[in-house]
Amino acid sequence: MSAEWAIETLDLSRTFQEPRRLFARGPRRSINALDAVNLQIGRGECVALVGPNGAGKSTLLRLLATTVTPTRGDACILGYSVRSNPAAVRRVIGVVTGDDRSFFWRLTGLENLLFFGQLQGLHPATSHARAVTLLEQLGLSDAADQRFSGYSAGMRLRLGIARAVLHSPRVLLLDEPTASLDLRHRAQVLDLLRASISPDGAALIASHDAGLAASLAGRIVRLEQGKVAPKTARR
Amino acid sequence: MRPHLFRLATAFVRRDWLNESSYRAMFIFEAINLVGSLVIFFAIGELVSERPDTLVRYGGEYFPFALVGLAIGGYSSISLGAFANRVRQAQTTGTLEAMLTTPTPGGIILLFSGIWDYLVATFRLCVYLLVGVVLFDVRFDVNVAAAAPLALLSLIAFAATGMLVAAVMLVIKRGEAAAGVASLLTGIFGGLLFPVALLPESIRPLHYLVPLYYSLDGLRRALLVGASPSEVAGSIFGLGVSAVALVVLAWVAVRLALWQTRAAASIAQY
Repeated sequence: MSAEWAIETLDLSRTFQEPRRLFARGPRRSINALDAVNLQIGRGECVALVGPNGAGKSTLLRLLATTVTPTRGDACILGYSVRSNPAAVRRVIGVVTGDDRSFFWRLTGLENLLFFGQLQGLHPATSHARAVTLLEQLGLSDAADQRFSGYSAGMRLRLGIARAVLHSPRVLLLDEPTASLDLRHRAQVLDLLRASISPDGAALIASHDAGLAASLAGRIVRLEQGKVAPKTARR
Repeated sequence: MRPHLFRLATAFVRRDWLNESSYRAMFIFEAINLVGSLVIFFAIGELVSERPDTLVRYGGEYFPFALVGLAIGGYSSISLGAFANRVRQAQTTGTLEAMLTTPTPGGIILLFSGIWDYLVATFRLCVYLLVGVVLFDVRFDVNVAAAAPLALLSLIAFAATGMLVAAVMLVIKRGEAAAGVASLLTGIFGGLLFPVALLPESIRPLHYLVPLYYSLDGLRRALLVGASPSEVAGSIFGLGVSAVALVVLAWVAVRLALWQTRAAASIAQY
């Protein structure tokens, strides 16, 4: 695989086996979530990943984010393999996991961002300045000192986006970044994402939001039953 | 950007302080609980008025024996409970997955998740000893040269045990029952609240397998009867061997557990 691509997958496959219950007999059911996906995303490119529920979009993002390992094949991010060098991959990515609970509920939005900033290796002062700016850009300034437990679904999502771009990553992996957002906040998010895509990196965004795909992505990749659909649109 | 270890440790402590201090009532009940348990053991100590032979090597009295057991046992129960609870909490809220997408190594995330609980246990230890001296007139005869290496090795052994338990919890998800059994056995064979000499002869040798035994035996003698380093050399050796073995085992277990959870795609499952 070549480092010329920001993101490249080669026969990337993932099978899930259903967990076995106590005293269960017989073979375990397995599901092919991703089946030999080949994808190349160039530097500076933003690609929307679309497809019905269960098509494998979130699985693809999780494989690229190194929280799940491939069953077959490999993927590279800026030339780093998710199989052989996941630590290097984690240094260049920013992720929206699609799980809006994934914060510390009794900490404020700002405290949460500062904690994750430390995990990203940011200096506390840099982290603070960046977090304050992002909260402002995402319309969360007034809620910065409010506990996360009091956030609405849309606020949680926007905080997730702030966390993903906090350390200015070169590659963004975003799972449904505009779900449950109203028009005003959706526009704020799109502006921020547009500004956050590094010319040297890329963004891969899984979404059901056709408007997001049209306004932000240069290319749309459609996944169906774990495979890249043959008729993938190019804008 | 690579995470800075000291800053990371501070970030974890700050996170847990902010989280725990948001449960204000808990602090009051913890304090009542702490003093209440001391009153119970003081009363038991008063009941055991004669000096049993099994306690002679620790100064002869039951209450100081139990006091040190409770104080040091706090660390042991953290390694068997708190670490695993933190991991499980992070799994159920989804924060574990979010943390594992950052450049901070998974092993560091697990290890640092327990720092707050160790600080609380240290605070509790100080309160136990202070209350013991001030309210219950316990007299210590401390040999610092013997106590210091034992305390350090105990901390390493307990932290490694915590990592080991957290690794198991990552994989099997519901390990509370197993941790409960381990805690019970550790308490019995470690001599937490009674000397192991009271155990039936047939099962007594099992205490050699429990690091808490070396820790408590050595520290009780170093703190209560001023035993010198040479007098507690056996405990230092036993604890040292346990600590090295546990660190190696924990390192392997954490790597395997992180690999397994990624392979099974179960980081976010609970």
